[in-house]
Amino acid sequence: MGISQIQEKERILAGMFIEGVKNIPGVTLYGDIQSQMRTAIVTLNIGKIDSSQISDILWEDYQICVRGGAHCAPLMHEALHTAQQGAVRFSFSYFNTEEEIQRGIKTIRKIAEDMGDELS
Amino acid sequence: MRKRKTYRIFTFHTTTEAMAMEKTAMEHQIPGRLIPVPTEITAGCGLAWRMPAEEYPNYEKEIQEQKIRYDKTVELII
Repeated sequence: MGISQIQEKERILAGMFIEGVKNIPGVTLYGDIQSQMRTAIVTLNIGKIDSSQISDILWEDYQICVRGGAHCAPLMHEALHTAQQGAVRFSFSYFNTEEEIQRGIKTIRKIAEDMGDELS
Repeated sequence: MRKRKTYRIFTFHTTTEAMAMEKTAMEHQIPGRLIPVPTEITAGCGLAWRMPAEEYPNYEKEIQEQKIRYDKTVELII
């Protein structure tokens, strides 16, 4: 197996996730989601909700491991205007499965729906 | 979704300190768990420890006696 195969699978998984979450009300995706020249990292927020809170819910309630907050990159968050909220970062790997991607999409949709009143 | 509750939050200078808090808490049955640092406290990177606010007075002395190193502690509704 070579790097290009690994990259292709990761690209497909991340793309599947982006397609699944991009139209969920309240979800904001960051970066150029159209680009093929990107790593398998997808960063998002749900409304104005603290990204640390979303990250904690994803792990504690759904056993989905992500990173929230500022990612030790305060200047990037200033550029993204997320300095206060941070962002939720999904990092997909070759070992993730399509089933896990679909579960991630459903979970983000559910969290966004459940938090409807708190989105703004 | 989740009901918001009042928690006692501890922040740390390093991840090592956060892990030490978790280890000590497990050894001494201090209730709580590690969480991502709420952005209300800091927009920096890191972990925090949270425990039910009503439990803190019961364990405050033990936390001091165990010489757990932390940055600051506050109460927060999250």
